[in-house]
Amino acid sequence: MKSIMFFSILRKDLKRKKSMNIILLLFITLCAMFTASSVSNLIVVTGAVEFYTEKSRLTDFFIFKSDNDTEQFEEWLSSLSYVDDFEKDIGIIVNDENFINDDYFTLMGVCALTTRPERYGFPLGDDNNPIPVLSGGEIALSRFDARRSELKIGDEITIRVGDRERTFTLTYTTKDIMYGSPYVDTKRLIISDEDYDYFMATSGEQPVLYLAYSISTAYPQTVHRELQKQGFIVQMTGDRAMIEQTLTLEMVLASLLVVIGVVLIIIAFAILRFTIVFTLQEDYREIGIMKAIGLKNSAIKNIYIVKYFAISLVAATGGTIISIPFGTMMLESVQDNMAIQSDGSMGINIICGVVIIGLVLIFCRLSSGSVDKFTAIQAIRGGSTGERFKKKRFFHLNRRKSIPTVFYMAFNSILSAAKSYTVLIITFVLGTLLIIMPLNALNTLKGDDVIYLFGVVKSDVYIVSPDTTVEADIKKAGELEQLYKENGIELELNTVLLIFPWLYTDDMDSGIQMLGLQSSVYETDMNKNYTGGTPPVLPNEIAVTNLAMDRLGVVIGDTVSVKIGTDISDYIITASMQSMNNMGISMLFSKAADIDAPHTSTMTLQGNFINRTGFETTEELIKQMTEITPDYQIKTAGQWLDQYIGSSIEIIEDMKFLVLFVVLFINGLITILLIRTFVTRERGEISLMKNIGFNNRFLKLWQIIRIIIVLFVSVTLGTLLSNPLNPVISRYTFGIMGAPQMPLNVVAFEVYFLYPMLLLFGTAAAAIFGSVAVNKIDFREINNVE
Amino acid sequence: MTNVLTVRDLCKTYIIGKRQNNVLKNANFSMSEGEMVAVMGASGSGKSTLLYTVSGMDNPTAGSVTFWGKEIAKLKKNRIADVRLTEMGFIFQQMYMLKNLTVFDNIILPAYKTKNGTRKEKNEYAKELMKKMGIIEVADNDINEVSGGQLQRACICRSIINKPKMLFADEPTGSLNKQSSTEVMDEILRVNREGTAVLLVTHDVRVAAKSDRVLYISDGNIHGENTLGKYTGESTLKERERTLNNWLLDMGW
Repeated sequence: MKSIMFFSILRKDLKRKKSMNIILLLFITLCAMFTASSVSNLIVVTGAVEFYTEKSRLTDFFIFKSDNDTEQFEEWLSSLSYVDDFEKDIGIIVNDENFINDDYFTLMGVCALTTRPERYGFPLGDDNNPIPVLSGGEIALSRFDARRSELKIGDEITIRVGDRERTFTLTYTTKDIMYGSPYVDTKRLIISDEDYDYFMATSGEQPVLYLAYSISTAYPQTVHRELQKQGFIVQMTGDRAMIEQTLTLEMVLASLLVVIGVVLIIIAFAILRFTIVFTLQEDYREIGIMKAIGLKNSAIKNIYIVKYFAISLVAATGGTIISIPFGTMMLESVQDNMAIQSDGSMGINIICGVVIIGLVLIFCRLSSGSVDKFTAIQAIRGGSTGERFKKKRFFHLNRRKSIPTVFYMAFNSILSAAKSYTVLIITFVLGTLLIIMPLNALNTLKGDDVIYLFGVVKSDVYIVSPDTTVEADIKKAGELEQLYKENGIELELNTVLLIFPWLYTDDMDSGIQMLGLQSSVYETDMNKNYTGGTPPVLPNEIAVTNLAMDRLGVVIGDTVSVKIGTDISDYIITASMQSMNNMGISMLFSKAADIDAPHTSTMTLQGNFINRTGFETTEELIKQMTEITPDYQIKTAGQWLDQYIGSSIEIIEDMKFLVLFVVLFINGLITILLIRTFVTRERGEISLMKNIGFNNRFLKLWQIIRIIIVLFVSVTLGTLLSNPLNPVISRYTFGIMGAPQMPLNVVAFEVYFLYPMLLLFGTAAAAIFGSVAVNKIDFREINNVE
Repeated sequence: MTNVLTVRDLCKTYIIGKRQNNVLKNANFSMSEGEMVAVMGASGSGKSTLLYTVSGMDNPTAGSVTFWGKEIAKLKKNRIADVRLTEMGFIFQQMYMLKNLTVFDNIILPAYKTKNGTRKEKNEYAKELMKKMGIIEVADNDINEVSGGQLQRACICRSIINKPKMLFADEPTGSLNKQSSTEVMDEILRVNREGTAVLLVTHDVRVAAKSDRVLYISDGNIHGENTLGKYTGESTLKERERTLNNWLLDMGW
């Protein structure tokens, strides 16, 4: 008998309070969706690098070298007892000239035509497994390069080596851990064995070969040290840590996902608590009446616990199911260039769903303490115990001479029940931060100052010559200046020299390989790079990045040994700096430093126009220069930088839009649900106002304006909060790239106007949609006035 | 006398599931300017439905309601809302007020919604009304800090703040004690004497006896009416009550 009554009350409750129960159901669904997708993504992202390196069979140590002393080198390698195995991949070095239809194919650094490796460093396909060995006419390249060159699967690429030419069809775009990062200048194009042999058999000019050794060893640092002691000429060495560092961008995006995940979980729990407390408070009348007719506290609590269990079971199931496509959508941007274990995480989602049900019951149990407090008297007296209520009003309508009534009503509602708006404020503030943080990172990457971190001085144009020897470049600089002058373009050219020295203190074994730069103009123009000390001026003075100084354990004022080729000299560190070159492990020589040309190379020729007469824009000048020297690539600062970070910008831009979409979606959904919650709670008052002549337009405006006020306050708060958070973002995002003190480029228009406005309008649209619920309230609901 | 309200063949049917409930069946009556009419009838006879349909809160299923020459059912929703705001006043059995506003703010809220006059003038008028009703001292109180009688008088102030042409009252004294009930009725009578027509629904013979005319509603139809004439004072009340009681007995009360 008792249980029949119990379920009868429960059934009636579920039926009669349909709208509140639906709101509860939706909020718990949202909560389960956010939590399950975020936790699942957090786990996936945390193990992402390990998964990617395992799937690709990333080698322990690698050495890139040209094809000289090969036999002796391999003999030496084989003699090392701690080298378990090594694989040699041979590539044919190609450049722009080898690509026949190169209108759209963008190259930078070294590019090698090679076959698919057999044991180490596999390029992975869409299914995160190594791509198969290619057939004749097929070609594969990394997704990063494909995107940068605007190539898609099915496109044709014609390559000529010597006297042999072949047209390939792009068959795979790969996730290439070794060569697929924007930070690795060396690129590889995978072709079939047959096509490789075809090119190698050219009777024309013999191709230049490039050897990549993948070494399996438990002691990569020992191999590194031993290699230093040998006389082999190597182009580049590295270990797993270095390759993992090239996944910076993906990890920045992954960190962003982690932040989004944590924020979503916070929002989810704020919603959950709010909903449970709110729905229980709404029921004071029922609780009081149940007490009045003799039901015990425990029986009443059981009704609520069973009700919440039933609702949370349905909601958590729905939320868990939706969390899978939602989580996948969030992971999409990170997955693009990196293998991520996005399958098989269903178990995590289910566990999260179960946890949400458990939490709902715990929250319910904790909040049901109010069941003890609600009395029959409260039910009879409409929420009052007969004692005076705490004063709720903060200001009087009649004392506000100018404020429109609807605004007063909106302000009054917020100030009278500020606590109810906490969940909305938390959501909006966090949402605003989620948008502004990647926005600042993106604008910084797009900003003018970033170019300094790539070791070049900001100039009008950057000229990449087909000949990369230093002597040629320096000689070319003078010749080119003259050539352009004769054709009416006056500019001054200079170049930045690249050196690859070893830097160490007492023991050469503890040294690190650096990327050194020397420019004739950087002392003044590159001040933005220096983070301490004074720029190097004398021949024996250098500036070293903070990251490299930390690794070596040196500070400004210390003397270090620098080995360039076989020459070893002592240098004094006069300044600390930050740079994105070589993942932040770089240094600057003074312009007075005398460095032997054989050990240097050039990055680019840089030019500033002395006289622009006759040309309106830099683009016009570049067009004219290209006509004069068609073999040279002439780029603006933006175009030059784009080849390094263009892809990063695209990915972060995609991420920014994804975050904007997610935030607008969350804001919209929560706004609609909260408005419906408020309308349900205030249906009596709304009905009263309708009865005394207030039209729907006024009542909807009342609802919308309070959301807009809360939103305005939250967006302002979020925007202001973003300022102290900027250094944190800088440290964690640009820090990984080597520039922890990168001043963020805050574009005021976007941060303080455009995106807040987008949020305001997007959420206001949701508020307008949600406020339609007002229309459905009729005059009879006046009885709900408390 | 000008007709302020004309009700012709008014029908109201509610459909609940498969069940059809004809609450009003061809109700007909009219009211003149400054008249006070009480509607009486048993519970569930359709009194409140008549009041809400006539005042434009609910749409009639059939028939017409003409209020000062305007056919209510043909007006758009916003226009009906405007008419209710500026030309009608409402008093309910419960003292419904917005809980986050003070008594005074509740009263001036509908006035602020209109464009007639300045806020200062509206505030002055509200104070004048409150003084007349004897509740000026509770103007700045929260609504839960005043008694039921004071609150109902505040509701009357709110209902007449926009100087309506007609006042609708649904059991205005239903939840008040005898003294409060008398005070509230005195205020309604005063409003009526100042020219506002009043249509009130009541169970209370003592309240109805103060009306000019009483309509008896039964089974959704107006079964009869009794014209008592203008109420002139306490001395005539007993006689009016007796007349009304006899008539109600005849009606089957």
